[in-house]
Amino acid sequence: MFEELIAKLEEIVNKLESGKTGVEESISLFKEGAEISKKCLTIINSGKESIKEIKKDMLGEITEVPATFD
Amino acid sequence: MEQNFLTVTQLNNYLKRIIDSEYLIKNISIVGEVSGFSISRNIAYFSLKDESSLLSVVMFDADNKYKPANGESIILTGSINYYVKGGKITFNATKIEKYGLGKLYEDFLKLKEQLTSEGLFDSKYKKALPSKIERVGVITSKTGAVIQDIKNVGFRRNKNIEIVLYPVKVQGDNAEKEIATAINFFNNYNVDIIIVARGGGSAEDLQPFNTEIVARTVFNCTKPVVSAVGHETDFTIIDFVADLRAPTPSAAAELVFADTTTYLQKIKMLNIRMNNSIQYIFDKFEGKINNSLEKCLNICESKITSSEYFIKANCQKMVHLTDSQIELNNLRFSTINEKLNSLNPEKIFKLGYSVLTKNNELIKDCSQIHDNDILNIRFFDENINVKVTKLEE
Repeated sequence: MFEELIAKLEEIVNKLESGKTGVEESISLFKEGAEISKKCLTIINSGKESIKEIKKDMLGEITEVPATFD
Repeated sequence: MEQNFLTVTQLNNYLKRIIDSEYLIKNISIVGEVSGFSISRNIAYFSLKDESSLLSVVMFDADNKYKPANGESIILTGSINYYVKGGKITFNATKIEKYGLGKLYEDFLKLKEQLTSEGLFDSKYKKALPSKIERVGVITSKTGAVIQDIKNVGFRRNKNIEIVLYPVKVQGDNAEKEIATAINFFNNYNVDIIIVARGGGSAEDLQPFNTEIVARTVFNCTKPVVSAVGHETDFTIIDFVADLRAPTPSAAAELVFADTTTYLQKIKMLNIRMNNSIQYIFDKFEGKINNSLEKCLNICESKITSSEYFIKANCQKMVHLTDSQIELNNLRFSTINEKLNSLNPEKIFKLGYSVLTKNNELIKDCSQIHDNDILNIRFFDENINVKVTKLEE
């Protein structure tokens, strides 16, 4: 879940900034943070951005088709 | 004598020009009582009057407008027009409304009261917007600005949401049934939230959203419904029963589509902070390493210096010791040498002594010598043999 990822990233940054983490722990936190941030950006930029339309055929059958506007 | 005169048409055209140029009597609303109402070929003809005055009214497209009873008080909106052919002033009405509370409004209030008493508007029934929205069901007209507004605003904020449009009639006959059908459809369909939207319009245009069937369908819908009907000032029944009322369709898109652009900013900031803090940690660590190295170097250096000193001192000592040993040995050697020199038999020879031997035997006293013996005398530089001629007593 996107919001959860952001919250996790925030937590990692706060931990790193606290200065209480050792070098090894910091490096693994940084690695984790970088991965989460990459994942978040991928989600934001993946851009499905689609608009579909519910269409009823003559028999009343309903299908979902890409919406077209004149 | 020539007379100046105008034709009737000229005068009437002149009057029409005066009236048409008078903006104060264009697009005005007037109130009065209806008298002599009749419709012919979709045009209504009647008079609007009050206690002391009367005005002729013409209203086009009358079949699709409210038909007042004679004597009913109404509000007309339109403009004064001068009818050149008949030489008559008429009011061209474009809109007719009941004076006081209109019927639509009365119906609205009645339904609102009824549904309120039934609890349909209770906040306890309002569903919260889901935290995860991936597919949004939109119920509106396929044509017009509404779906475009929702699309534009929505996708500007978040490119990750899918819009599923259920196209419906948003005004006119049976629009409310289509809207209710669409809500029921989405309730059992793969969408996370439903937006019911329509652009601005007259009270009649918004009527489908003031119907009981739409209100009850929204209430019974188990998915959150956001209403976005008309302008910000328009309130319809669906607004009260919906889980969330958006003032406009664009606002609905803003409420429903989580804004990922702010997330983008946030992620960028978090990345900067993360890089800074890891850099800080590295710098600190590097500092520690450098300090340790420096300490090590210092210790090594001092050890080397002290070792060097020790070695130098010892070397010096060694050299010193060796020198004195050599000197001592030299001294001993020269003493021995001297002794040796003093013992050198050649030295005795040089003093004038010689050695006397007979048959290679050293002569130490005279008893060893006899007459006619051949003796050998060894001098410093050479040997000679001599013959004993006579021994003397």
